[in-house]
Amino acid sequence: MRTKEPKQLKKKVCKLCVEKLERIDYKDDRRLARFITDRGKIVPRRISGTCARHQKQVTLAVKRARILALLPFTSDQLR
Amino acid sequence: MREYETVIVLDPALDDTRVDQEIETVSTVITQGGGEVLEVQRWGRRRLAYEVQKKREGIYSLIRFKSEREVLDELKRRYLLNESMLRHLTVLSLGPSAPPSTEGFTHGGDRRGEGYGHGGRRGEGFGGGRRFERRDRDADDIDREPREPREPREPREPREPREPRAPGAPSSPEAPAESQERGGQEPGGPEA
Repeated sequence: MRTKEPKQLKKKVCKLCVEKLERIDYKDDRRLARFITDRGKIVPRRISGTCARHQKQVTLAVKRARILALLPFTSDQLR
Repeated sequence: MREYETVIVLDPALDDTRVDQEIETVSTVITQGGGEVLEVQRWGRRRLAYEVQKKREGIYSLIRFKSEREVLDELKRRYLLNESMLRHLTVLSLGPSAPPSTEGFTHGGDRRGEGYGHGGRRGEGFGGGRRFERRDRDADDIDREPREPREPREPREPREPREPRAPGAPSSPEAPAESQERGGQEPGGPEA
């Protein structure tokens, strides 16, 4: 059954590559908000389709933004 | 000499003159350490993404400067002594950059209108979409691929009644009596 249907029909493209962003800024909380889940977790590459290079940058930026309370660590803090 | 930038988050109770003072102090530390202030950004009052010292807001400021590394130690030492400093971060600067959005992090709201279509869950554009989000919330587990929906199972055909087992078979002690009672159906058979 698994082999019959392809898991993913469309190949995901790295959104940040499409946008031609050279670096990702931890201050850019709006953009980074797209890379965290409802619970505040960083979205894995597998889901978001980000390329390795950009995922590393996103991760670092999200972590920095969290320190400054620009982004939440968890959803409990969202109250 | 390298370029750094430091962001400070101050107590929202401070008035403008106190904020200016704090920024001034930081600048003095930098210049006294042989550095040079390149740019001062005041982002103003922003909502914090989480409470810090029971406060929901903070006054943000960014200072870009050029200095030797030792200055960072002195800055940090001062930051830690400063009671009205909620958060601070000093990192290598990648050049001038724009201040972030003004309103601060609001859950979900900011994601809309970013060109991802309808603005719903799907609109966020992650392949897993809905299923992924739900799984994350419920199970707190994002280590697995979202599963393909199962094909509806065809109703099973009723099995042939089994032949009664040989009495005294070692593997099924209660088999003979039971199988007669239930007409030889297996547990989990058609009625399940």
